[in-house]
Amino acid sequence: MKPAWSVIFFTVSSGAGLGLMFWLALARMFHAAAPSNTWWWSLGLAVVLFVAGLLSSTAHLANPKNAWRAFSRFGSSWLSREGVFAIALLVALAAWTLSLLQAGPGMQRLSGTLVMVLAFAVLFCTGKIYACLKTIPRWHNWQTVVAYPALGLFSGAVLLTALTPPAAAPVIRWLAIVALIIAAIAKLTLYRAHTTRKGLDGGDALQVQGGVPRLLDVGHTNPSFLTREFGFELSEHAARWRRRLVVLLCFIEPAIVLVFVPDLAWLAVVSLVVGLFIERWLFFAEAQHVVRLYHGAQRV
Amino acid sequence: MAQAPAQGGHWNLSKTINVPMSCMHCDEADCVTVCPTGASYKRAEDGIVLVDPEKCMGCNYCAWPALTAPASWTRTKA
Repeated sequence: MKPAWSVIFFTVSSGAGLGLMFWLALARMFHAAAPSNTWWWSLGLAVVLFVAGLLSSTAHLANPKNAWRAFSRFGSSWLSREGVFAIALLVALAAWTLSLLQAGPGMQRLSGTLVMVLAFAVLFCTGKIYACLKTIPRWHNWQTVVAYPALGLFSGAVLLTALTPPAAAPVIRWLAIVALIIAAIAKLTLYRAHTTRKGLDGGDALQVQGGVPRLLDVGHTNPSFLTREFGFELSEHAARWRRRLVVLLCFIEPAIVLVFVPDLAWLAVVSLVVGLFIERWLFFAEAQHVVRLYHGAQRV
Repeated sequence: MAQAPAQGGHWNLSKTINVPMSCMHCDEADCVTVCPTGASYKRAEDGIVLVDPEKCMGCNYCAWPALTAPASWTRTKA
């Protein structure tokens, strides 16, 4: 599938913002004193990342004037659910900010919990948007559902580690490491499955017995929407070294920084940003829609 | 598509199948399920699956769960 930069930016930026506000809300549960300046700046960054991502996602639309309708199918569409939770989260953020400035600890905890739940819900919905599709086998697995929340929480935790002096909040970096492990398990098992999976061929497409069908003639003589949308080719060689880059930049380097030199957490942030953009690009580039079987692919 | 025996059997059985790639108007159309705006819908009286361009926001999401003939877009100059 052709990677769209607006969606890549959206999921990486919003994911990090959602993860960051999740940890900031969790941190408030354990501190009675008023939030520090660093905390407020961090929250500002989280909101900016989240909103920038949302705006970027609307750039992906061919007809954005109808975007307001996207909240109307909460009952059936994961994309609709994501939109509803995102708007609800913005409201919860406003309520939480007000309660931190004006209200007592009870209200602060309540609105903070709501922010955490909704932030996680948005991340979960993002994963389900892709994972619910049976027609893209490389997305239709538990790793996709786990990876979006895990990478969002991981990137948010790394950001928070960089923003907070490790001496002041040592637990943050260990939360980042736990999120890293979960995300790494999801992505590594998924990359392994990509290379070992047998895949579907023409025989699976037509359910015929007695042999594997060979495609004699594709259903088009010129490019079409389908060939443009689903015809993206990524060679196994190109995919392989990009996956290695993802593992190095998203997991190995940040792990080394977080464990041994947490004071230099900004190195992990930089590495992670680059790594996540590659990871997300790869997520789309590696996706193969089963309709490709009718347009020249022998195996999906 | 042509079909041949897995191991060259007694005779050369070969069959050519032409696969129509139109919308199947599925009973439970996934393209209707995933549409966030309700633009993609299944007409009640005859079960035909359609897209209402007045409601569609152009997110392309309905193209992904469809099997043989995903909904398509053409770019038109306004």
